Amino acid sequence: MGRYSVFARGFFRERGRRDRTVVVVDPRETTTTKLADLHLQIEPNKDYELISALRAVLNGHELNGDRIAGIPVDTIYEVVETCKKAQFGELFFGMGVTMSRGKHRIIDNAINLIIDLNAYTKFGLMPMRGHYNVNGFNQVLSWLTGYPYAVDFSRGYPRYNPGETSTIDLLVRGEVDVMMNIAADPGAHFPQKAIEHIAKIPVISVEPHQTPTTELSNIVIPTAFTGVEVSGVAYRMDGVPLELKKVVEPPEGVLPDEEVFKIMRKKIEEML
Amino acid sequence: MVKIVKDVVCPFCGCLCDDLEIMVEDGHIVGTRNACRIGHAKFMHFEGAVRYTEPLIREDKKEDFKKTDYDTAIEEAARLLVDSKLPLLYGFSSISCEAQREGILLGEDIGAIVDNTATV
Ligand code: SF4
Repeated sequence: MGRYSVFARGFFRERGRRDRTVVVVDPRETTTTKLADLHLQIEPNKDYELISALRAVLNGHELNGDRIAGIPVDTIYEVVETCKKAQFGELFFGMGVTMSRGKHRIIDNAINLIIDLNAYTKFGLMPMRGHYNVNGFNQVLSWLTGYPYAVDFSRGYPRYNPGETSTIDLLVRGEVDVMMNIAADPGAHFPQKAIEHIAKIPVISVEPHQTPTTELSNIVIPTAFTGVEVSGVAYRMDGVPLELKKVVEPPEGVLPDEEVFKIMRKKIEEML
Repeated sequence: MVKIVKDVVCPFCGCLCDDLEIMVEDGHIVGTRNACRIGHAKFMHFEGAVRYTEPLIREDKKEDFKKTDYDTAIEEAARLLVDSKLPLLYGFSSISCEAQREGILLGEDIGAIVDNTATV
């Protein structure tokens, strides 16, 4: 928030925070909701309803009832007016949205909300990224294969069909027979059925730390920390690539991820 | 002596704040400036959490790990992947683009599924 979003003083927003309006949608009270201009304390799993209500108002309809998704209708009218009057708005969303009831259909509805808002002003939407280089992977995979994630090379050419070629589905259906896990922790975040399959098959972890997933692994290959112990490029969540710095030396003998994959490719080439 | 490294990009979340200052003493990080609480904690403790410095291997998941060297660990990993009918390469979100590229090409070599945390 300090560097980019709320407090930063920019060319068009000289006064920083005072030149910006912050609306937070969250069922709970958090430090973020406390500094917001408006906190929409939504009922859990009512994201879709709220977005639909915002779109309805935006398209000139009246809302029936006093509250929608737990939020007073007057507040909803107010938010729509605020958004319409903005010079440049951005909707940020995180796992709370993608994981609550409706999942990607909520995003679908949100995209339509942004399209509707663009009839009045410039408005965008951006997923909040947990890991720092989620976007980078989607970029690199896209320029190598044309698809952003869930790519299946098993037929010798890239195929992309989320639901069929996506990790969780493949694990739940028990279709993959070896997993190499790279600096992620499915053991802590995946649904139970997926983890049960991970426990059954050979697992390789390329990972600097002990995690629930390394506990399920057969091989652990530690690597140096990019951005702390090795340099490299990462994509910011808005698509800007930045060079990460090396600040300190890695522990003695520990290799960077890139090096590990290079050696592995060479060995694979010899075996094939 | 404390050395200050300026304009460091924080490698912990997708915001990639690029105005951090990291204080380094004797090759160890002793402090940060401008990072949020998560960023600060990660920089300060990344050495503290249980960190692997040597590759580990075991045949059976019920057994304890045995220490090994990189060559053996990578060789065994390569063998598992080559022998697999449908390997899955998953994660990739906390490594550099250069490493992602190598990992994806590796996936192509062996006809794997290649996927990252965006899938969740
Ligand atoms: S300082 Fe905080 S907000 Fe900025 S990149 Fe690091 S973890 Fe993210």
